[in-house]
Formats: sequence, C-alpha cells, structure tokens
Amino acid sequence: MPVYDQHYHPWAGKPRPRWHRWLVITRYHLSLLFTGKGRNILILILVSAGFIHFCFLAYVYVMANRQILEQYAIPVERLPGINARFFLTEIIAQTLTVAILTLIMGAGLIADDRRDNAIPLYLSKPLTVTEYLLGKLGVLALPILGITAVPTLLVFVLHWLGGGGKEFILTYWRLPFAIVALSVLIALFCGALMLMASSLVKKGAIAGVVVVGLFIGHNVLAGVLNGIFDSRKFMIISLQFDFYRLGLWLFGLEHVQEAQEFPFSGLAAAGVILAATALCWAILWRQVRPVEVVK
Amino acid sequence: MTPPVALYDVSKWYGEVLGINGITVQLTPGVTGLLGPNGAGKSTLLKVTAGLLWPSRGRVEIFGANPWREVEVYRRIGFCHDGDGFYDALTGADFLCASLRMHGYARQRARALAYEALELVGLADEARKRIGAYSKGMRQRLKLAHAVAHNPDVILLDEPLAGMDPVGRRHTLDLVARWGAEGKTVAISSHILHEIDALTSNIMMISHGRLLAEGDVHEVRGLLREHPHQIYLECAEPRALASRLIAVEQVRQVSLDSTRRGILIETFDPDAVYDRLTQVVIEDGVSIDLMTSPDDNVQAVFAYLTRGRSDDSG
Repeated sequence: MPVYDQHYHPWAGKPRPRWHRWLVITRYHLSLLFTGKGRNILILILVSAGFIHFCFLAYVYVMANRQILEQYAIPVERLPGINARFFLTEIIAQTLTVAILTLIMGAGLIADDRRDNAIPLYLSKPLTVTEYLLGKLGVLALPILGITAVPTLLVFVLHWLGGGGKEFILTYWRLPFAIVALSVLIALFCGALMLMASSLVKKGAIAGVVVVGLFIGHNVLAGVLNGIFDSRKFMIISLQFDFYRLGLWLFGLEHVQEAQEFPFSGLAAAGVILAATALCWAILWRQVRPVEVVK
Repeated sequence: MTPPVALYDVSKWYGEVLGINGITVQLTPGVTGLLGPNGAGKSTLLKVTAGLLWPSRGRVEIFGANPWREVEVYRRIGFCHDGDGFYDALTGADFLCASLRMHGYARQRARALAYEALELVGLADEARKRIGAYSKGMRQRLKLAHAVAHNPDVILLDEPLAGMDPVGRRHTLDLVARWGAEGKTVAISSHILHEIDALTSNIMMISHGRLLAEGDVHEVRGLLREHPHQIYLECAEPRALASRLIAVEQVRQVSLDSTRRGILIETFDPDAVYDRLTQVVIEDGVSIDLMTSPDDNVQAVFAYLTRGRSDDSG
C-alpha cells in the first residue's frame, strides 16, 4: 500500500470577482453566434437597426440645419419636433428588429444545452443557476440594448450638442433615464421570455415557434375578451400595448390623447410587464437543473 | 481532519425510482474505484457527490462544505460527467479556456492552463481543431482535461474510459494513478471491473443503489466468510500434490484441472494453507510453476457480493 501525501494542494489562481464570471458565458456565446452559420443574418439585422437610427439621426441633422429644408420649400413648422415622442418613436421603431433578433439569437440558448446535456459543464463550475441564466440573458440583453438604448441616447446627445442646446436639456433631462428604463425592460422581458421558451424544449426552432405562438396567442386573447365584454380594459393583457403605454408614461407623455385613451395607467402596464418577466424567470428556475432527470 | 469527501446516509429517488439508498462513505486521498453494473447508481452517486443533484435524504460534504449550496467549493472539484455535451464550433483550447475563465482565471492564465491540460491528456496537437471534428476518444480526453485543468483536489470521473482505444485507456489509467499518488482524492466509476482492478485496490461496490462494500478489495474478500478462498496451482505432478494437500485440515476441497496441470484448492483459512504448502514444497521437493488466487480480485468479490442479490431478483 502506498503512503499518500495527506496535505491538500490549495487552488493557486486568483479568482475574479463573482459578478464578473457569468459574463464569460455571454462573451463566448456572442462570439459563437457571430462566427457561426447565422452570422450574415445577424449582421443584416443589426445593419437594418442601424439604418433606422440613421434615419432618425438624419432627421435631427436636417432639423438643426433648417435651411436645407427651406431650399426645397418644405414647411418646417409642419414637421414634428424633436421631443419626447420623437425618442419614444425611435425605440418603438426597433420593436420588430428586437423581436427578430431575440428569436434568432435566443431560440437555442438553453434548448441546445438541454439537447446536448451540456448544463453540467456550467454548473460544475463555481457558478450558480442564477449566474448561468444571467450569462444567457446577457447574450440577448446586450444586443437588444445595443440597438435600442445606445443609439437612441447617441441621437439624444447629438441633438443636444448640435442644436437643442441648454433649453432642450433642461426641458427633457429625464429622457435619458426613460430611454434606458424602457430599453432595459424590453431587454429583460424579451430575454426572459425567449430563455423560458428555450428551457422548455430541446430544439431551438420549437422554442421560436413557442414564442411566436405566445405573442400571437395573448394578443388574440386580449382582442377576444375585449370583444366579448365590449370593453377596452382587456388591452392590458397585451404586452405590446403595455410597453407602449409604459413608454408614454416614462417619456412624460401622460397628457397626450393617446395616453388618455388607454384604460389603464403606465404603472399598471409596468406591473403587468414585471409580473410576466417574473413568471418567465420562475419557470426558468424550475426548468434549469444541473442534471436532466428523465422519469 | 475533515475528509475531502463525506456522504452521510445519502439517498436519492427519482420520483418512485430509487437512485441510491442510504450511502454513508468517506473518500480519502488516493484513487477509489466505484464499481457496479449499468444502472447500479454510480452516476447518481457521483452527481450527488459533485452537488449536481440534490440528495433526497442525507448530506454531502466536500471539505466540510455542501457543494449544492456553496458553489465556491467547485474550485476544488473536477467533475468528468458521463454526457457528451460540448460546443462543437469551439476549438478544444477555446472550450477549456472558457471553462477556466468561469473558474475566475484571467484570460492569459486560463489559456496557459488550458494548453497544459491538453498536453496532459495528449491532445496538444489537436488544441486548435474544432471539437466537432474530434473522435469519441478525443472527446473523452477533452472531458478529462476539462475536469482537471483547474488543478482540483477532488476529481470525480464518471466512466472516463468509455469510448477510448486501448492506448488511450492505458494513458488515462496512468494519469489517474498519478493524481492519486499526488494526494488528490480521485473517484473513478466503471462497470469494467478489471480496469479498476489494475488501478487500485481501494473500491466501492454498488448495486441496485446500495453500497455493497468499500475498502481494500483483499480485505473485503477476507470478510466474505461464506465463500471459501480459492488457490490455483500448476505443477509437474498435480495428482501427487493434490493427495498431500487433501490431508491438510484447513483444505475444504481439491479439484484437478488435468488439461492444464493445475489444482484448484478451496479453503476458509488461506494463510494456514499457504504455510502448509510451503512445508510440502520443501519436504517433497515439488516444483510449483504457477500459484494464483482466482477469487481474490475485484471481479470475483463483486460476483460473490451480487450473486445472492441476482438470485433473489431472478
């Protein structure tokens, strides 16, 4: 019998802060997505998103240089101004791009790990289930913020510096916070919904179908209930309307007629969105386990 | 001193299906072979030990910490799971590098450790190849590298030899033996008993989710009193030797294997028979060509331990 050395070899590395580690999952997944087969589609989507922002930026430029419009006899006073609604519209205009990006990038995020039984690879590291999910959420949230909050804030700053001046920033000082808040909520909800769907199945394509089905289904449900009860109050079920209503509230547009026509407040819309996100997160928590138990 | 790995009355049920039942065991530095047929509960035991499965009852401690709750202890655990989940688009080096970064290593250090681990398992030349192009044996070796790249103190290997060619198996067994000799606590599961027999005499035998025996295989054999020990001899005159040995009080039975010039002796007191045999050899000048104990090994012990159970179930 050999006599074993009884002392333990201590771990020699210098660990990075805990919060930092889940970013490794995000970073490697993003690099995989942008080097894989779908790279060209992703680039196309990002270019489309960039083009939309470019149009808004061009509008800002033109409004700051009104003589260009006057040259072509365009009545400047009849054109919409650059105000809170302008920036809300800039974010809302990205809704379709966000949806497509979420479906393409997120469908396989957990489904593929479940199919390949790869979850133990993560959870046999000093990572919790929450950190694993945060890492996956980051894969969706960062690009979503990259096509909503970041360019919209850039347009805001350029307008402020280019022509808006002190008066603009004093009037709309809360807009940057509103832009970030709305974008973060969109990213959190879309990410949680997609990850939830991805955690329910083992094929990314089916997860995509589930999300599209949920999106269409809950809107149809809202419409049917509105029809049956001859009321508009069931609009609150529709997350599409909730986000718009929330946007009007966050951007200080409570006074506009559109906001008045909604049968629920911005706060109620925020509550529904947060509840839906929490529900997705709860299902995720239940679904993601280090070891797949087949009964 | 806190044992590196300790399980106290650990059970795991999958609904109504029993995974493991009432297992209390401590793993000490060195190699421990976890043996049992397919479906015995070896993987479940390793996953519960690694904190990947929550035990239905009992508790697991690794260096005194509960691995399910205290994930920091994973820095000291290397787990080679039985699945085959990888990211085929990544290269072997990138995969290990990402894994090490999740352990908290900085990029450059992670890369250096990844290459060290790949070198260790003989995959250095394939480091920059995509995992999708790896053979089954190479994937197994990559899993092994993944388990040990961060220099853990506890290494849990779930069927690491499956799918490897003979050279790969030999290399892996050498590595496991080395880690054990270095003072790491290594648990290796296999249903191929002779592989473990060649690696370590320290075993845990598991069947139907229950721990049948643990410890040194020879000591375990000694405890199986209902099964007489077997001693096999080969010599030039087997009949003459057999006639002398049958007279020995401690010998229960002697049978001749005439085709191979062999004698099979059964006894409940092998030490006494060995002593008497020495006398016979000296007194009669008998030349013994071969002497073995055919049932003092892992396979035989496992067969004895499970025979009654198989008969019961059958």
